[in-house]
Amino acid sequence: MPWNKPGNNSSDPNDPWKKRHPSSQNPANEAADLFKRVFGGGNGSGGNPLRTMGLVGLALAGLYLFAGYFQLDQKEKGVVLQFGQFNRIVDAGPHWFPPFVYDVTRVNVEQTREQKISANMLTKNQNVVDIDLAVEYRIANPEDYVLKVDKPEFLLRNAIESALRHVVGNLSFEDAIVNQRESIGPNIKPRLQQYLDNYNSGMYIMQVKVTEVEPPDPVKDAYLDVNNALKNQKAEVLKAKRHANVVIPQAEGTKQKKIEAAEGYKARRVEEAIGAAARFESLLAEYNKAPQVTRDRLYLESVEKVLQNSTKVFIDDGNGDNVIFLPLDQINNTNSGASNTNSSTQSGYVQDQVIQSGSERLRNR
Amino acid sequence: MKQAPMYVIGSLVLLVFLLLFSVFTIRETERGLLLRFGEIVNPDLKPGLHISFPWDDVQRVDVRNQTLDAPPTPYLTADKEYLDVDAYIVWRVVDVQKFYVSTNNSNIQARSLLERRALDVLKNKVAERSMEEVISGEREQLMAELTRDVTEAAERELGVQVLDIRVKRVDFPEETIGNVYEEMRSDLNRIAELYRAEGRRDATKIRADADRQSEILIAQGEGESKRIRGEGDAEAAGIYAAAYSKNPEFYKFYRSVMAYENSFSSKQDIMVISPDSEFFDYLKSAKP
Repeated sequence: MPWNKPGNNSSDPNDPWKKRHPSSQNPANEAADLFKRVFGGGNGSGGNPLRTMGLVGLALAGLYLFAGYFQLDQKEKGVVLQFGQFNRIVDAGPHWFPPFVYDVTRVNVEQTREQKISANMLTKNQNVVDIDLAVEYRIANPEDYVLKVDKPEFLLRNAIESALRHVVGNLSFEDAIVNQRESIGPNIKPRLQQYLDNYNSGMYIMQVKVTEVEPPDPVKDAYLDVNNALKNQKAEVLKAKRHANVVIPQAEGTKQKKIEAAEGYKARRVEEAIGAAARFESLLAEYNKAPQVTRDRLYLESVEKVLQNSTKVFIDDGNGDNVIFLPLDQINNTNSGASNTNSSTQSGYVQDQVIQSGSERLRNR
Repeated sequence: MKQAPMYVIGSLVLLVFLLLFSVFTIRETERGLLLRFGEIVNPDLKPGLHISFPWDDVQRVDVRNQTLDAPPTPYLTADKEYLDVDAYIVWRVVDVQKFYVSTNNSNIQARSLLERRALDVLKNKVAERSMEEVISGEREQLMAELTRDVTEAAERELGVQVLDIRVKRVDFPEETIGNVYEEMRSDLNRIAELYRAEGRRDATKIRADADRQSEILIAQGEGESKRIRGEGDAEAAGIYAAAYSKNPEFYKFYRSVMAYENSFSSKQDIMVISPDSEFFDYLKSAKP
């Protein structure tokens, strides 16, 4: 390691150069003096050049030692190159590697990194969908990631687009947007991983999230209209079902009501019949005991009731040739007028009048 | 004695400088070529520390996997449709000497050569296929053929291995994308119409079915009601008959008398009566 020698050796008391410094104090040796100016007294301090040299050497050594020290965090790995050649991977902890000989690249292997892609893609049925995608990944193999690929993120973006293209290119528009939307991410993941493994990229895909799948802007309103139509369809059906839910129970109620009414009618009819029959039978029992009397009584009572409740015109047309004028209309009108004005005295009067005229006729006879 | 260390120092310094100029490293990501007076003397320097003469020339070649994003290019498919195809190529140098010679160790030149070759092959492959096949079908096969065809030539001519060629995007060109959107719109409108019509159809069906059911229910109620009423009438008639047949003659009399009462129950009813009626037997004389 030729280039770190001077730095180290200048602090060495056995350094052959040391002899040179006392010699520089000899004013006769100009070359040595010049040498001293260049090497030791260059800063013009004019002090003890040996001490200055030693201090500079110490500082350089300290710097060298310090430059070689680093520590790796728990989530980091270090890719160590020795003279440019891959040497090993180091884990978390303090490390010291001599600078210039070793070169260490630190890689965070735990961090979840993300690449976002948004693209519009042709679907299987030659429609277009807008897709937003977020791919989460981490660096699983730092050696490959650092040493095997140029611009790994650029490579990843290309690979994502290709895998996405493949998956969406095999879906129809409807499937991509609705039916199989959830499967797009999981389908991309293994394919993408396979690509990346093929490229020795050292990247591990953790998750492929499809954040948005939408129809492109120029057809968005038409697509929304489809959604509306679907909602309308459901609403229409729902409305019809509501109608059915109202109409059928109503009809059931009507049916029940009719049946109940009929049952009521039947019961009434039967009860009436039983009542009437019982009445008739008890009357019959009385009749059987005294038929003639009962018969007459019933007859007379009935006629009495009839004559009580109706308007009577009593005519004795025994002569046969009398033409009697009966103002039936008038009687009726008066009666109805009387009943309309609710005056029983008036109707009683008319009745009397009629009866009177009747008795006049009797007298005339 | 005092001169002697000077020579030592001088030669040491010279040695150090010589070493500095003749020692070099090749990184893990590269391979080196050692040229002496323009002639390649070592075509494959591995990563690590190397020594050469100060007048030697070291050329470093990046051997990592590199990504080449070819620009989207319109291609004609077998069914005479234009499609914009955007592909990327992953490649790496495998033959350092050939690469150096054919590209003068210029990545840019290598890329443009590779791109031209890949796009040529892609063009042919697309021309053999229909639009539909390019968009979805046979993709794996297309890629595999493409990669194989390109890598053969690339390795032979450039010392480059093509790991993968993949299509990232297949789009309709700007000029025809409007038609695609138009078609999509009409498709979507058709679907919307279909949904609406289906909605109306289903709703009408459900309504008609409900109305039919309720009609049937009401008719059933009607029928049932008539049957029950009939039963009631029959039962009543039976009861009446059983009672009245005990004395039909008396029943006739009794019922007639009741009928008179019910028939003449209003003042509106006017009776024109002759005193000859049986009822008036005693009105004229106490003896009939």
